[in-house]
Amino acid sequence: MPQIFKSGANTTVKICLLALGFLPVAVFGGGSLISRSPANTNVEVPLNQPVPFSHKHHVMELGIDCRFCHVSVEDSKHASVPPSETCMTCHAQIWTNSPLLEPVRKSYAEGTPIIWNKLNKVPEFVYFDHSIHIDRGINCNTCHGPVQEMHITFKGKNLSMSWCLECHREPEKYIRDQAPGKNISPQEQVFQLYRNLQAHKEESLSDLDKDLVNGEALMTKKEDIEGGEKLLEKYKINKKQLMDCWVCHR
Amino acid sequence: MPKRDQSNIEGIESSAKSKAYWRNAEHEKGSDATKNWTEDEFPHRGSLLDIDRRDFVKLLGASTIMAGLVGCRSLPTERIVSYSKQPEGQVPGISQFYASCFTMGGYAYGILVESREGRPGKIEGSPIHPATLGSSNHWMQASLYDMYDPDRTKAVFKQNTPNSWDEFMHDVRKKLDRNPGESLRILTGTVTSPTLIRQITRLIELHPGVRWHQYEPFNDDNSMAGANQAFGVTCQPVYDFAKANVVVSFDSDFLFSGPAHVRHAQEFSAKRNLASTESSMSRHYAFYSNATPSSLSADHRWPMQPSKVGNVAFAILDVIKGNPASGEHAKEIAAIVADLQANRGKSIVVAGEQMPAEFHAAVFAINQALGNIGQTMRMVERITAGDESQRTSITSLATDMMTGKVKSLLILGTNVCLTAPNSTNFKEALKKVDWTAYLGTHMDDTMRSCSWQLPESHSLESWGDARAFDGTATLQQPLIRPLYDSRSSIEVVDLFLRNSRSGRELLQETYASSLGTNGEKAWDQWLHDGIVPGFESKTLAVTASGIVAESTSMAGDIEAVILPDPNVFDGRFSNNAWLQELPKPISQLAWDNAVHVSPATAKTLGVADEELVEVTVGGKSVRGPIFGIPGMADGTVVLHMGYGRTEGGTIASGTSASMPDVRNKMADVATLGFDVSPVWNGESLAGPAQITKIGGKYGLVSTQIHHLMMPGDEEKTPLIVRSGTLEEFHSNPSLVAEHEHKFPDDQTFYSFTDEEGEGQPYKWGMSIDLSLCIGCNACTIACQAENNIPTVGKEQMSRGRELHWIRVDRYSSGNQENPDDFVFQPVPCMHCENAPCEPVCPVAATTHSKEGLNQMVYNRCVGTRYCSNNCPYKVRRFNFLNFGDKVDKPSLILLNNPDVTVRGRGVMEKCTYCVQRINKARIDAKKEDRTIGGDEVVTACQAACPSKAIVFGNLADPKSQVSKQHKNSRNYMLLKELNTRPRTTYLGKVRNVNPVITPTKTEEHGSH
Repeated sequence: MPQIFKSGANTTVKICLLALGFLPVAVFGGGSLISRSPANTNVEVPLNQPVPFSHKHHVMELGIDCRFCHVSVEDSKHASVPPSETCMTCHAQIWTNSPLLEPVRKSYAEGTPIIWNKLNKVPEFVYFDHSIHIDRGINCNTCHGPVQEMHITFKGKNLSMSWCLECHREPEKYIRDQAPGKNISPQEQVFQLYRNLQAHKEESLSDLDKDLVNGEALMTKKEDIEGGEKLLEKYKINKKQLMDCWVCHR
Repeated sequence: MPKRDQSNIEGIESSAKSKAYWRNAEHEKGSDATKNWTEDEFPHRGSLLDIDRRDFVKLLGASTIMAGLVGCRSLPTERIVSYSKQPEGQVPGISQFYASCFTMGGYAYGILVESREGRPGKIEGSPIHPATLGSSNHWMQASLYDMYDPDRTKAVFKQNTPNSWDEFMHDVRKKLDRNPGESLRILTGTVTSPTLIRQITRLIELHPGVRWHQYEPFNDDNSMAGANQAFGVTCQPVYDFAKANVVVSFDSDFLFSGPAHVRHAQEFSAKRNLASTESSMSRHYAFYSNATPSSLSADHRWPMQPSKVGNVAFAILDVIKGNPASGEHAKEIAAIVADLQANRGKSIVVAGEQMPAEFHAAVFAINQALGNIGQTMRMVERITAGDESQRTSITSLATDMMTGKVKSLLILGTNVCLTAPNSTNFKEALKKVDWTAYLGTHMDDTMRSCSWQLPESHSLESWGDARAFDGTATLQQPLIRPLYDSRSSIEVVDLFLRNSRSGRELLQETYASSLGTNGEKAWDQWLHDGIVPGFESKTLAVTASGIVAESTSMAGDIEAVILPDPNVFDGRFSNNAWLQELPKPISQLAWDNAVHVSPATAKTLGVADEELVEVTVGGKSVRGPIFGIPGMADGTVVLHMGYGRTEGGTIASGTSASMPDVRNKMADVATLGFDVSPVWNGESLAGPAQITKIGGKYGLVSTQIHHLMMPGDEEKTPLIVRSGTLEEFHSNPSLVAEHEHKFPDDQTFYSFTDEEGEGQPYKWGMSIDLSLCIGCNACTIACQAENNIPTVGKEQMSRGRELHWIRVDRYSSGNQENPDDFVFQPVPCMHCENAPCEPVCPVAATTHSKEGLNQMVYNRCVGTRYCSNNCPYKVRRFNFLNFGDKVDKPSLILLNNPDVTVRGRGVMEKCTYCVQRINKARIDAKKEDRTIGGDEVVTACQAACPSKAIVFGNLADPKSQVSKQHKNSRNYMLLKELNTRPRTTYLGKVRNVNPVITPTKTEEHGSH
């Protein structure tokens, strides 16, 4: 009677047993990788909109201020999406026959809304307020990525809780005086950066500013962090309080 | 962790010797019922097991699978709906407030309504309006629910088939053209609206056949007639309680009913705010039959039958005239008169609206004799329209209808089939009228019987106006276009004037003469304020004659009093789930009315709570369950109108699927509560009554024993209420009982550090003054409106699952049948610095913020309910059945406050100190580079509180009001012996008793 198990069987069993041990690791590890990947978070996945609006064209090539469209970003929790009327301030004069702008003209003429797809969304139990972040000099790109480079807009960061906490835990590493020596408010500094970028192109910016416009706000140099700590004191930012649950959840 | 055994704490035993307070009789006795309630995790669990084995297995299997599947879903892409043209001045995410008007019983209450992206939200009192002075009441708060009520009438119907406004207009015109002199009757509720009065007057000018009737079941007929008797002219009183050192009330609920009650409560409490031992305090004597917020919060109370209350008033008038006191209560009457005479011109004697006219005349004469008229009260020109008594008016209308004199009838928003005196037989009379039209918000009893069924706009979606208690003309500004195809009463009357103008045009026409030259600017200012200046009623220089006719109210062994329900009123709020679920003041009943008698009377009759009885008044009878109210007068039965509805919406009629009462229904009746209309003869004092037990029970839900903080065992009664008389307060400013253990402030059981809390710029805290709280529950419903608190229905409430974040507990002490003292104690989350709920949470869903808030993080909660179990104050609420889910009623989703999470099933929730308001204030302050003011953040309960008993603010700011309150000598911590170090503290209750009257022994007091 021939042997049922060949000589390699022992090894196969050993490998299988070993693999069995790794299986949970692979399942959970793989699961967590998938959940963090753009497949789940949609980070850097462009999303088509009813109107193919290009931030790159309007911001970088034309130099329009963020606040021209997102009017309430300094005052309200919502940055707000512009009404069709805002688009028509220019597009009543230029590209008046463009088929791409048909939905805008229709909306303006008929008084019906344009329905956009939402990109940047936090869960309904999270209460984010744009105005206070801008007021403290947090740049738009810190959360939204390099918007000035986006033809079709995509989600710049994953907006997960751990990502929010990176800054809420150590705000000194993210907050900085972007115009040292000049007496301009942190809020104005945010928009000054984009004006500089538009006027002088990226190459002429400082390294930190370059990082900022690319959506990398984390500072690693000791002197930068010390500067951040001084700013925390100046702005009376209470680090401990920033970590309270009810700052964002309520 | 070191052991925290309560029995180790010295002082628990000794505190028992202080004055004992209890919630109800069972509680005081420590009965099994109370024990079962407190010890059973699922009270009334019987119905939970009414499920057969197969269903149980099916559900078990399904829920296991479903539980796994809920995690696997991809969230849909959300949409952003942009404006086409953004409204000017509107910033998305920032609320705006508009002045408007809430009208009840014809009278205006000025309100401020929050507009959230064009959608009406939270309602607050308008600070500049004389009727509210910034506070509100439960009706104002709950009127928002009415606006979004899914059961509202939504389109025009004619005899229950869909029709249109155009058709109605044609019909009206055809009618008026064919026969301009036709007898058209218009029936409204009480009207003060200058616009409606102007329109109807014009209509009568054009068509002499038109007659106008006003009727509301609870009106001011009696006090008007009384004033007429006393002064010889038609006038009505305006009181100023802020000037009154002594108040004597005769069955008057001046703090909780009537067009000025919100103002009264504020003025009354301003006179009783004891900032220190030097402060003075007014004194309130109450002779009353019904237990109400006003009568039970009085310093001296004498419960007595309604007919006897009248006798006391006449006796007092006699003594003031110089005759010696005699008869029952002679000693007390002499003392009260002495007190009144020592405060000539600084006292108020006030009578309940339901009292007979002669009696009102006597009370006006008393005030005249005391020199109060012109000082603490003034008589002003009549504010309501017409001069006919409403009872006469409705009776003559019904008679004319019966005899066929009335060809057509237009009814504007008064559900008269439910509320008309039974003698009028209004429903039958209505059938004799050829053409009937009813404008109303719900398909109620009257609308069902009328041919034209017209949907009425809510006050938040239509223009209108009304005058307040002192005549102030108040503009009702809409916040939104009508949700449905509805119109307001002024727009409907305009159709009869052959126009179809907007409400705004109609208002501008009314006030055109006041507008003057710079019209547009003045109009804008009026809209901003909500007030049109120059309409305040003129004060009349009148003198009451001292000669009054003796009253002839019917006395009996048991006297019946029929009153509006404290929450649903005469039935106009019956379909309002917020008001149905709100525990009624005093009785703490929800979802029902009951036959209210005093515990002694119940004992005499041999009936217990919930047992069904038949109440016979004047040969007619109603059946309902008994519910005893301690503090009520013996020999009196109080019935509340507004229940037993078969029409008026799914909630009003008790047919809503979300609230079946499966446990027990009243005999063969499937309604909520019982209808009192069979015995309603148009008079609140309905006369002698017989009560007979008929057997059977009807389940009532009273929250009186829900959320008990202590065992019903007197030996271990811990410190809940501190109280004393004004004299005791002077000698013992902290009101600590003699034997009470003094706990040192720094006592700790285990080493916890507070260092994190030190140096914080903000330490949030609250203070609640028990001397000021009148137990009206406005805080509870304001909290409900602000914090998206769902209703749970009667059945779930019977299991103690109501979700109100702030409850108002009623405590009594002394004799069970007529306790010496009543204390109302609002209990929100205490935000303990050393919170017992926090260490027991296995997932750290409840933690402490650096500013001292006990944070509840809903998205982290897994629903173990350990925190609730460990909370000594019982302020945590668990959402058992996804009560907040309103997908089947989309209009109710619009009710939600977008700044507060809508909690799901299986999540613990509780008072947050309105953290959304704190966060808003913090962000505003940071943007303006300043700190938050000590009193800047106002919680929803505090804003609503009409007696200003609740104060919230920053304890780190020594100048804040709450810091001052915490330093008040009366300040104490609830259950201090547990060392939870609550941030919410209480100020002890002080009663200003007259030393001449106070009996030294409680037994003597209870004998009245």
